[in-house]
Amino acid sequence: MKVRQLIFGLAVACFLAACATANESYEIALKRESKGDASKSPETAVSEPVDDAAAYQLAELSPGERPPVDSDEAGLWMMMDKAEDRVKTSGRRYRDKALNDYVRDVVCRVSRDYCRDIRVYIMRVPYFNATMAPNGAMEIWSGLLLRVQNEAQLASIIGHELGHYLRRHSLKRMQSVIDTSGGLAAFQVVLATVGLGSLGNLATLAALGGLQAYSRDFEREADGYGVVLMSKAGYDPKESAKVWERLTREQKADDEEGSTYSFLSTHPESEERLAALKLLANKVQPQHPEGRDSSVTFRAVMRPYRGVFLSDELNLRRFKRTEELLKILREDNGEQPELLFYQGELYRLRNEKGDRERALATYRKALSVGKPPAEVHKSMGLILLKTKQRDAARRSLAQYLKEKPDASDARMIQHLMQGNRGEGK
Amino acid sequence: MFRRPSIILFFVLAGCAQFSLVEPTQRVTVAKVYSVSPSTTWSGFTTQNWVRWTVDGPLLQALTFIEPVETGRPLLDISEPKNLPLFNADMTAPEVMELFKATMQQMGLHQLAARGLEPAEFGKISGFRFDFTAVSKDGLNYSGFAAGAVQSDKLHLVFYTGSQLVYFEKHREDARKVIQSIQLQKT
Repeated sequence: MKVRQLIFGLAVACFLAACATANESYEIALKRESKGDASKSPETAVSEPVDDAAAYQLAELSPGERPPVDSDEAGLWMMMDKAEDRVKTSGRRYRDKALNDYVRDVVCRVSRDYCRDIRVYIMRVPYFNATMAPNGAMEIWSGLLLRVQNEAQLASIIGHELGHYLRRHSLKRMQSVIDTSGGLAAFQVVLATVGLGSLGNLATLAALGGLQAYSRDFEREADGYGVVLMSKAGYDPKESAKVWERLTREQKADDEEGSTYSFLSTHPESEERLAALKLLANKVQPQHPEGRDSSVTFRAVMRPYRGVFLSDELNLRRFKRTEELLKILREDNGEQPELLFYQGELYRLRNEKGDRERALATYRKALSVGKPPAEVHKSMGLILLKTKQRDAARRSLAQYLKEKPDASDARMIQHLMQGNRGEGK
Repeated sequence: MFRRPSIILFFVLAGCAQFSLVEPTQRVTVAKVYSVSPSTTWSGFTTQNWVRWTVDGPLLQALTFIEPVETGRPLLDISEPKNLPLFNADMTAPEVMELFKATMQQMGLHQLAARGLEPAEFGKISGFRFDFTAVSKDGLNYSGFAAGAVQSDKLHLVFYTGSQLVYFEKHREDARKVIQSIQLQKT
């Protein structure tokens, strides 16, 4: 019995590690995929994606179902319940009612009979990610909400996560870890007794690769569920592939060296994934006659939060990726003053050669097309101060205070307007 | 998502650090340049390029002294996260506050809101101060204030943080007195 408990404990530890991998943003997984061709091994060539919608009709979990208390799955749920308690009180959690009600509504539309079993937590984390725990706790990160173009794309990610839930992927993964780690230990003992202990490491690698391939199959299956469930909810299934096209664009713009663990990637290759999503989208019929994307509603709900999402994104200081993201958002929305303001902020914060001029030109463009945030005048003033255009700087800073008379940094701005630097240089 | 070992380093690793008592008996020099007169007894420890003083534990309240930061260097001299924003000697006070906010967000403080940026004397030279609030990953609310100045093209920065429940207020005045007593030493 103790041996079984030990293996279960080991499996839980491995499972938690697997959670950490699964919880890595899709961006990281994508980075691995797009750079991993050189290290691609035959082991990554696992089963072909299924393009038949009928294959994604099965749920292994009934609405309202909870696992028997004496099962391994109940232990898994208990762990996830504790983790969910931490999420509930997390400082990252967005509690705004309007935002939560909207996302919850989309989740219910996609999950239908399972709606009451799902708890949704919107987290202020500027990476693209969503997670689904086996107990029904779903996290959606602000970086995802910033990047999806419409409600249909959000629904496709929610459908993907529900696929993991309905097919009990977490439990299967944990059981797979138990099986693999048990077999692995036995294999290593055998190797050691014949003096080939070092080969144990190769076995470990091969076994882990197998686990990850198993995980990639789960991802493929979840992708399929995403397309089918969003389609059943009336969304245009063709929007699903577009999410990955947008992420791929961002990834390609970012030439930072990424992880070398492409062999351990948990997601299918991007191109294969895109092809499978497109193929399946052509085969399923949305309930809505033309398949809706609900762009207008989505944009209206997200608009009040977009500035904060973009500020958080800029605080990550990964300028190439953010520049591509802003390009995508401007393609979606047109040259909106707010987006142009943040484009200018990117140049100002990056501060490379020519960036001050680029920032000023972009701020002016923002002002020419509408009413950007009042901070545009402050940012212009700070650049103009540094370029010794003091009169123009004073005018910009005065305009900032005029548009934002209750600015909390008003005393410092006035100090700068009087020709002081605001610090000791 | 376990991508922030830095937060452990910054807030928790103090458990492994070598603490020493800082008595309120005489003027002491901290982080190479800050000569200060403490008004109460603190426990201090040094990590990387910063020194932290605390009374009840660094997760509850801490007064942090950053060694002078040169152009092209991050506020905190650590290898992860890799994209910490870099200081530039021509930054104005609002830009230094932005630098602080972005650094702290990457270090794992959330919903950081800074306000009240104003000119303030720092170590007998013209500088700035501002207040901020933030929430830890686990949902603990923090308050804090920071003060600093740029001298000889280097950023000098000291900030105090404490959990809003009891500990921020408990030694807020002591921290303010320490910052007020700063005399900058030549580096």
